[in-house]
Amino acid sequence: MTSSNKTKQECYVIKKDAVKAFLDSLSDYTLHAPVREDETILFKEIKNTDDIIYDFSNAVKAPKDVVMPQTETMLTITKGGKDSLVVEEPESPDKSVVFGIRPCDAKGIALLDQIFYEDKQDTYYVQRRENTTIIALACNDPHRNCFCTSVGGAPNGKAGCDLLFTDIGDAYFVEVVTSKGKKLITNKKLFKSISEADKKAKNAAHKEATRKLGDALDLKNFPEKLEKMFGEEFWEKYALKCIGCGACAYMCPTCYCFDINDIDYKDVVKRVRTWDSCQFGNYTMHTSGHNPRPNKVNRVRNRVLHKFKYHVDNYNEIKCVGCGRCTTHCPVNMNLKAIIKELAEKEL
Amino acid sequence: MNEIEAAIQDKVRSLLEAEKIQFFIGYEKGSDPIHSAPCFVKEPKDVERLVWDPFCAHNLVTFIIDEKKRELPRGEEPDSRPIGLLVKGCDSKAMIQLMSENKIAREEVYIIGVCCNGVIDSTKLEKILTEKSIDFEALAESDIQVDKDSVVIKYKKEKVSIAKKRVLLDKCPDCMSPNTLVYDDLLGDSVEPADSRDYTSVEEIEALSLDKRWEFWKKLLTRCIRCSACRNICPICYCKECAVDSAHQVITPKTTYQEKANKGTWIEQTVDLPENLFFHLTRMLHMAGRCINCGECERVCPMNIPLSLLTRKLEKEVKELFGYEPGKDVDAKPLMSTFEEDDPGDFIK
Repeated sequence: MTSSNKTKQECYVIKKDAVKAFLDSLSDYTLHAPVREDETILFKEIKNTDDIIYDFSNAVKAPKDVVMPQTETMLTITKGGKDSLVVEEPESPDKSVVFGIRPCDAKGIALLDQIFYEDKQDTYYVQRRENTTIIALACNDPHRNCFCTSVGGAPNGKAGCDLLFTDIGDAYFVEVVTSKGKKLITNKKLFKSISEADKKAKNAAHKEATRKLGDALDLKNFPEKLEKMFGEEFWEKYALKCIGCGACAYMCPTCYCFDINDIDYKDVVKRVRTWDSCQFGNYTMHTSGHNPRPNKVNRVRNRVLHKFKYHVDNYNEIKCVGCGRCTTHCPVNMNLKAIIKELAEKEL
Repeated sequence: MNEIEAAIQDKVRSLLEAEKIQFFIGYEKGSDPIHSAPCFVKEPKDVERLVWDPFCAHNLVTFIIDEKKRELPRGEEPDSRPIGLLVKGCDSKAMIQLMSENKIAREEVYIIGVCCNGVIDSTKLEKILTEKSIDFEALAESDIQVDKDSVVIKYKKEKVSIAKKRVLLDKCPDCMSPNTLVYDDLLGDSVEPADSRDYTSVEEIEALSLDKRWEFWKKLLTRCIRCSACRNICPICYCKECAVDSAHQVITPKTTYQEKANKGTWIEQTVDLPENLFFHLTRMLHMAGRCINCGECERVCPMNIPLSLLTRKLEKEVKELFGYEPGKDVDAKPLMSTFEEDDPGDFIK
């Protein structure tokens, strides 16, 4: 897996006004970075590096679609000659760089790696992932709904990153995390050696961001506790107001469920994979008409348990990075951190 | 605690103690000082969670439809008592519309109505607070009131006044039904409705050339991620099986291959401009003459797509073409199921 290619810690500084030249130099790659469209911050494919924004909290939606697009063609079937069909796989994805991803979202991609690499390698994911280099931007000013430090992350966490940039005033402090990241540092005119003052400024920024996040929740024995909570009635209290949409899952950096459909476009049939969400009623619907999670209480409980118990059982890590998007964008203001806190503190 | 909040709590407590309702749906404090959230109260001891403040945005009528869709666990008898509901003026139009469509019977809901001066758009307020460098923490102990022309925020020793139009939800400044139209109890002083609806935003789009209009919507609809928040929050979107969901069919040993093959998929799950466009157009067609413009779809859209431009356009069209206003009269026949000899037909020529 890419994230294990660790090199000896190597650091540089790059002046803010040199970042554009650096990004422009990555012309062999497709570049994804945050832009502001109307009032909405989105990760988009960049044609002109002037469009990139640097002063932002976080994008509305996690940029996981760089490695796991919401709609992905798996194969196409067309008519060949007489009585024959031509089945084709999609072309290999381009080499790409994601710039400006936050450490929480980069960690989200590291968590997706567990799913798509460990049991069986998912060709589509692996191809994109191998071709993607991630340049993260440490969080100096976390959003009020953030709680990365409660779930094993940090505003300057390196999981999933190839390079980590930290804003230190008029420059970025650059930490090289993997050999893949190192490959991007070719122009030593842009990347200069660090001074003690730079290092101090970086550490101060990380410390201040961690302080702003407040006290972390204690989730040490939480997964075991959740196991005992499965049949409790209190789940209903959280679930009643859920409207069963997919906003939380589609914003989430770690949700990975998908659906596969064969679609007939007349001249061509495509097998397409699209995101899905366990909060939709149809998600668990069996062909027989039986639905093992018939009501929203079953579904909301599943979302919490998957992230904080089942995934921990399987991969020994919480499958939530604390980005807070599900709270920020929930139509009914469901507050995941508050639910976790309440459950973790609940006496059984 | 304000007077209305106290009155709501008292009323709900007595309803629950007398076991007159199954449970009550109102609002409680949300995840931060500029949000409130829907709140379900089942026990009299929990009524203290209920609040009434200018952040009570949600149209709670949706939850009545939601409750009707709930599968009863085996052995549970349906409860024939009404559900208690807090309903603002705008939301009461949804109630009336659903009653006129025979979807909810009046006696199924105990309505506490509340006269409303307008609801704050948390996104707009957040932006203003950031501009003015006001910390969220500072608002934890604050008093926020909506009066006739402005929103007044008092916190610590500071006082900030913001013009209503800048900070309220777009549906509020020209609200023509600030007072609940159908209720069992009505709280608060009656509020003067606006004289007329303001269609400026719609007219600006109408004035664009076809190409420009297409560019405008193309950009916005490409952004849609099809999370279905707009559909699911909508009180009027109540179908159990929805045209935009992936085709779902119960297969039994008796199901023939023809039946399987002929089960249509109206809209694919792929997220691209054609399917997104169809998703929204289908929804809008089904909303014509039924949407009461509570604006919930736009409020909940995580991708900030201004869906109210479409719903306001619908409102304007049905008013101009048929003189029809949904959600006004319980006995009105639904627009799309009636035909008048003098209905204009120009638009289908």
